[in-house]
Amino acid sequence: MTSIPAASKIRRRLVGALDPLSDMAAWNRLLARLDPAWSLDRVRARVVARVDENADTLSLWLKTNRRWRGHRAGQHVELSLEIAGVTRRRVFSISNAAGSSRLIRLTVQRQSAGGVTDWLHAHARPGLVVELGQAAGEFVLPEPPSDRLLMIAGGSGITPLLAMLNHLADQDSTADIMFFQLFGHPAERLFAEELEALARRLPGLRVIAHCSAENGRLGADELASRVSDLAQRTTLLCGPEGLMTDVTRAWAVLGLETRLRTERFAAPRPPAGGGAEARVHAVESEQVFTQSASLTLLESAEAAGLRPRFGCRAGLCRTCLCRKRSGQVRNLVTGLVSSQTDEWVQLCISVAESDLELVL
Amino acid sequence: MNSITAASHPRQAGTTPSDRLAEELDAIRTEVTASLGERDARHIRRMVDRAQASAVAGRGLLMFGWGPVSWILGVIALAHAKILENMEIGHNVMHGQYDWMNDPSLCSQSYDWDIVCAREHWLNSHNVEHHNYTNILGKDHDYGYGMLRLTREQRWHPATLLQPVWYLLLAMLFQWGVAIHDIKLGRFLKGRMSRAELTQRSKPFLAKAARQLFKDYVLFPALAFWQWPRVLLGNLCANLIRNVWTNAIIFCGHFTENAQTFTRDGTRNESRGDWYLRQIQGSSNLEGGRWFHILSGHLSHQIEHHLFPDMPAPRYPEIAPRVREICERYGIHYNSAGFWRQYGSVLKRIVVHAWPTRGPQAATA
Repeated sequence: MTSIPAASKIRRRLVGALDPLSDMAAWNRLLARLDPAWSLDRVRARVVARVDENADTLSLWLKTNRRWRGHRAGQHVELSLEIAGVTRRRVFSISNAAGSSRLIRLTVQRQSAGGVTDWLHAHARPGLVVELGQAAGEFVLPEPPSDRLLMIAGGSGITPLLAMLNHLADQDSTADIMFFQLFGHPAERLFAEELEALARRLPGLRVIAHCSAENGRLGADELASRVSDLAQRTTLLCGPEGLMTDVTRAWAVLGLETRLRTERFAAPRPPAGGGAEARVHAVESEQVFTQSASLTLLESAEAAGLRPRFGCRAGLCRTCLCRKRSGQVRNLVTGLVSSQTDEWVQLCISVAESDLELVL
Repeated sequence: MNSITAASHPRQAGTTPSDRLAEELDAIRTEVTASLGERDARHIRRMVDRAQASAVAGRGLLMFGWGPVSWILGVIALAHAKILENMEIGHNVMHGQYDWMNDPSLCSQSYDWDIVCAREHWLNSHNVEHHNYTNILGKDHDYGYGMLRLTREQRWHPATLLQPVWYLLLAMLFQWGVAIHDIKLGRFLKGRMSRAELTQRSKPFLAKAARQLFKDYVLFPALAFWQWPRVLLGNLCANLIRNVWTNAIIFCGHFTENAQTFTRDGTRNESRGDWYLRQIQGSSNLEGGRWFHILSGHLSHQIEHHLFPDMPAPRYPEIAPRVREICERYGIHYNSAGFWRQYGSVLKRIVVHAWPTRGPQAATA
């Protein structure tokens, strides 16, 4: 038993000794010169087709390299690309079923200006190479397969559910699937043709399209009342924040929270009002503290008993550099606002402008 | 503390000249920060490619070359790679100049350089201590590196007579001097640090030094089989060239004739403007062509670097004329000259202050 850790330690030492020859970043740079999609350890993917679904939504078909380990229907993936020198990342749900061809489809709805989605709308075309993470997420079909499903898709939240329907169709599933598709305006309805085609392959699929501009907003209670056998169904829900909250609450009241699976988008939260306090979630220490208007993030974290690394406390040395997962932060020295997800912030000279998630 | 007396710019009444200086310099920073983009990203990536290509060429020539010409070319290419990596890439990336790119391979929190100095030691002794306490005697340990007497205010000791010899040794072994700098050996020798603390402080250094020695003096020579002596000697020479070059550039940064020193008392209640002023008065620039600036890691623009240590270095030459113009308006001496003139004045200082110099205080009050 003891020989195993010893052997692995020796192996680690030996491999470590060869580090100068195995600088992954360097080899990857070299490979990328030959073909930008090549990499020894990163998933890179080339756009093979772009389909404009409507004015604000497009789908990209991507051919991944061999580092891609596949996905389960419903999972998401992080896409990163460089915009004006800055590497930006954003998570997208995969909207097709896993096949053998290493092809995935991402559906991109245009969000705030200057971000990843905006850039993709302007620049994505066949040939573009982007970097991806591996597929992740627990929003997948129940296992063992359930024969009664209720799917609720709000707006572009349809993407992971579409992947599930495609997967079920590939499996020749006969499951009874009620599929509520909610959207604001008729022009915003996504994948109408694909859903029709899926309905032909899936005998148990019933698609109920609901346009709130024409028929009024469909509340969670009304939705529940339209499903007679709700308690027997596994509910899969993905959509905007308001819908998610309503349905989660209604299902909890009905005692069905264990039969509900959800996927949440990391939506940017609105900035807190002028001089207001902001809530900061320190992810690693699992603490939540409040940033008062008169303190910097570093001071607030310390006041809350956290001990972030710090150096000069004047914005020079960057010892206190911290990863911000989400939220909006203002740098007091440069006046720059960091509003994208996953950016570095200097705690000692930054203040929160909205609720935050920090890797602390 | 020095204050700005001459020809102050009367733009805003009610604020001190020092505040106005800070305001003008901050405006430059804000402008540059807002314009960072693809151009800067392209520059640093090009430098990384260039350093890598040069390292591959240098090591290749040393390992597989034949004859003295290929050996000399190999040494030059490898020294060039190490200088570029240490100065233009490592030093600048570790200042956070490219953190805004959000690229993990160019992030100040994880980048490690091709030198025996451990990154965590460097971040403390350089980014925290040297850049904050620049040229404050007793607080900036980079001033004389704890072994050289460069001003009258420093204490003289008979051993100081030999400091030209110490300096020569330091220049040749500069990476080792930099590497043990943050262990603060002096404190241990004076009995102000326990042996346990010394051991603890030495750990990152020992680990890094072992890795570097293994790489340059075991792994790469071994990969060349019977050619191992030329690889080993070549690596030694490349490291030596890098050491002497970086030492010369770095010593020109703060030890030239007109670079001022400061006292703890005089800098106690510094405003941001006073801090900027001290950075300008304690630093000196080198003039030269584009290649010279790149090989110095843009430390040839030491003044701009000390004002804005986290600004991408290729921007320094662009803002230098504006900084110079501001200095002229505020009557601040902008210390800039060619390499030989500046380095000559450094060497002169090392020799002059080896003797027990005394006299009126330097221009610090």
